[in-house]
Amino acid sequence: MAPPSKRAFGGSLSLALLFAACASPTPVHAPELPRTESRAAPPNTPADPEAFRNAPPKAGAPAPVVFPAPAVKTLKNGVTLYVIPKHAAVATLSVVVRHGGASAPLGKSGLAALTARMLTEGTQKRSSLALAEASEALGSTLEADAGRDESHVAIATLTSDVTRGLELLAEVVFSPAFAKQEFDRVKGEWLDGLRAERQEPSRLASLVALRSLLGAAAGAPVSGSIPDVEKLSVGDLIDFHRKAYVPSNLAVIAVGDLTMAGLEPEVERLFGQAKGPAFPAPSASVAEDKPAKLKVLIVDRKDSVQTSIFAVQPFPKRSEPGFEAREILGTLLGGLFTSRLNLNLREKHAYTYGVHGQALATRQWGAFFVAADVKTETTADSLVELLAELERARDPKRGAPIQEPEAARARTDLMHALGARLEHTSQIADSARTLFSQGLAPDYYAKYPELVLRVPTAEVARQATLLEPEHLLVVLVGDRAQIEPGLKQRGFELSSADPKLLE
Amino acid sequence: MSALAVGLLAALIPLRAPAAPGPRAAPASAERASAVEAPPVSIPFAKFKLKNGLTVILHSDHSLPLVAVNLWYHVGPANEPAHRSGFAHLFEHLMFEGSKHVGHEFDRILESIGATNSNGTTSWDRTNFFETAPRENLSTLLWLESDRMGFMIDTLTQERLDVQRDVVKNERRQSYENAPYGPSSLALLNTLFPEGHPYHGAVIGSMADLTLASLEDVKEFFREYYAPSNATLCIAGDFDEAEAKTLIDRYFGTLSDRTRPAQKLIPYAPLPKPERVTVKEPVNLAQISYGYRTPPAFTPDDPVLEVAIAVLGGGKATRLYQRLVVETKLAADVSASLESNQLAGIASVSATVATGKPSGAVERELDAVLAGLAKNGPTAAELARAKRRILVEVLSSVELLNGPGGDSGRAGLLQRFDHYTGDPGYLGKWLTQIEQVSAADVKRVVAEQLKPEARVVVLTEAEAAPPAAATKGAP
Repeated sequence: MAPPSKRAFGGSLSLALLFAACASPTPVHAPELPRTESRAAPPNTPADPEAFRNAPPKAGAPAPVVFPAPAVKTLKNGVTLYVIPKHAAVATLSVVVRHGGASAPLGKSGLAALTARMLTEGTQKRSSLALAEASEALGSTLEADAGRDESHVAIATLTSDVTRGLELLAEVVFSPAFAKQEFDRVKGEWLDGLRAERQEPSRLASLVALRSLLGAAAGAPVSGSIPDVEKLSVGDLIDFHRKAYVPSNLAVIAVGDLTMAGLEPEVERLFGQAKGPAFPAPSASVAEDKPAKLKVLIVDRKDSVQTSIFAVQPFPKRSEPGFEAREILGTLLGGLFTSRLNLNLREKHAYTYGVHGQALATRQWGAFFVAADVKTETTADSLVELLAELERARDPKRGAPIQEPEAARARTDLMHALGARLEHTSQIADSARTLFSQGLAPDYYAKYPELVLRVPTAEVARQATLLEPEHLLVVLVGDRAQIEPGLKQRGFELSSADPKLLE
Repeated sequence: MSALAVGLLAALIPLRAPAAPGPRAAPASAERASAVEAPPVSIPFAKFKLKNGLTVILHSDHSLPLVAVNLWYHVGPANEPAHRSGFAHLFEHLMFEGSKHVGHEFDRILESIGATNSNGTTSWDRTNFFETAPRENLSTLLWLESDRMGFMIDTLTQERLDVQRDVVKNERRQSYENAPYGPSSLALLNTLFPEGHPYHGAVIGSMADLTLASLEDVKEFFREYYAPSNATLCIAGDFDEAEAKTLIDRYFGTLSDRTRPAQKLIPYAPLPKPERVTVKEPVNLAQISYGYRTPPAFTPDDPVLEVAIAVLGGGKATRLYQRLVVETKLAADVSASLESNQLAGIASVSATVATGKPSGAVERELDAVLAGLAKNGPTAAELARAKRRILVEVLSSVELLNGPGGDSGRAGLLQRFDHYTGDPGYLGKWLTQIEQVSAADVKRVVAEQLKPEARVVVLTEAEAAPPAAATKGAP
């Protein structure tokens, strides 16, 4: 994925005691809109001893963002090893395979994510509890998860415990128990997790939108639909693990106070003996169901004080040229705090606490989305403004072509967000995982700053012409009785979301 | 310590699987701990005061070309006047509205120089503002922060106050009113801290109080609490100390001092009697939460509670997870957390009721786990794991200059320790205190602090199936 957004905001299954409140929720980042307010005129009498403050300080010489290219080795059996040295007390170790939710056949959504989770629920040597105790004795938890294009298991350990960490990873990846009893328990827990996820209106809006856009197979959530997960068997997981977790698909990533020379023999010992036939990751493009005209689906949520909006359209997939230009576009439209969308919906109109928009891109499809939770009474107005911003960005004749300053801020933000990832071993490991799962050259991030800085604003504007507000798919989760009249008055036709999309 | 989450919009970005339904990260923890020497942890710093009372903490580290600024104002909801709940946080939002010399371009300037992790947060006792930027921009960061410290009030208009008030109301809707378990969370906090307690009203405040806030209130609050002598500036990262001091003098030295307000310290008292609240919410899964008022931050039982909470939750090998999720399968999820504050800490233990299971049974099992720990204390292995998790979490946090909420990472920790103990370098002592916690300590403190006689129980009942229809098997 994109190097990173700041100001994350997420819900949580448990009662979140949100003690702290903060200024900005979304990864918001910024554009040069025609602004109504002018800079406060600095009252600047010669006698003012504070007048020096009127001049912004000059920055010193810029320090370049130097993201190290990992040292990469391929073991004889095909396992890839990435080592990125960083002086830190805690190392991040991760095993990634190039199969994720996208590899699950129709009707088996959740397969990759549940398989990853079950790796941590017992091995041929250790019970689930013994495994948890072993990792927690190292001060850490074995984290297992899947995305669309990859699955991974990771652990953070003190540098002195790296060998033990690698041993645990090799054990869970190559000799999971997949015990029926543990699977039945985890499945129950997982299904409740899915039910809890669907309590969150913004999450629900995104689930419905992607399933509607991408269809039942590609659009199913990585974590699975409830009916699909109910039908999954432990046999399904064993089969997926056997095919997907083979050396040609697998990489070991190590970030910390480590060297290739020191690590390679250990990794060879632990991961170099595995075998298995090649099982290429899916890469064929997925057809996206673009509505013939703007489509608004509604999920009724009575008495909702906000409406969760998720608006999405097809966009190029990751490997299509212009990926970085699309990142810049997404950043200036909905990534920066002063993004066009945030300045409008939050800072000008106060419809929302924050709006986020970005280009998503996987190996098989891409999408551009905008998401916001807006005050119920402002739903129709918010949607009108959202569409207007996309239209203005697309069509220079509407008065707001992409401007150099906003593109420059977006480039700067993307480059320095990458630089900031160098602070933490886990974030560096995440980047290495993207290198492997997306088939990028090891020096992709090393070259990324140059790559992003080189994208001409005209190219960003060209990508903006791919925006199609008239073909947007919009999902609203909110109180239908309250919002429908206003939406109809503005000319939006609403239809109910197919209940199957909510599963 | 808050968990070091590096999540990227988990709720929005559908590429990711949801966090595996499992325990939430609690204060972090290990069995073989004694076998490995913990690496020494310290964050070197220099601390001094300007003539106008501004406290400064400097920590230089040249490993990456980044510099972080983290500015704490020692004011929070604890200082709000009556019927102005949420005011400290609303004020925090207004600090991004601009200032006399900078104009209204605060965020735009930060973005133009490549600032990351820039935000402000409000917690019970303090408000912070922080940003990390490429090192060549230190002077710009100090220019921005000093201008709003000295001159923010000069440019604020009623119109901008009204906009940010509405933004904050939207934040309240998004984080609490419209969020699963949000109303329950507010009920827990407001029962734990009833009317009259400085923490009443939660950080976010009530809608009615937010509506009342006037421009005059804002000016008064600014004059009273946003004085240099009520603030601490921390700079961490790649800078030259002498140059930084010159810049600090230039930008902060001329700001006029105002008297530091007297702290409204009320003595700590545990909850006088048990309370019970039932909240109906449009959720699929019921939930039980226990809340406790615990002794203030950095008092002797605070590190013991930190360890006790890590024995209870935050890992799959912890007591709550094993008993409620694995063995009895009564809960879909459990959590345990501790937030240490000036007037009282807040400990909480919570379980999400598994589909089809009675909440009464979940509550009995929670009680049994707590009673068991109070009666027998943790095993040696449990204790070692809990301590090791805390250590690794701290070591992981100190990789960052500024952590996500500005109260973790090196600058955040220096600030946090200084705010509560007056010693930015308290980290080593704190870790030693953690290391010295015994099984007997945990047993005693769980019995004394996490007892049924002094807690708030909040039961969240599923009111009606939300749109995602409860599926078969749902209660």
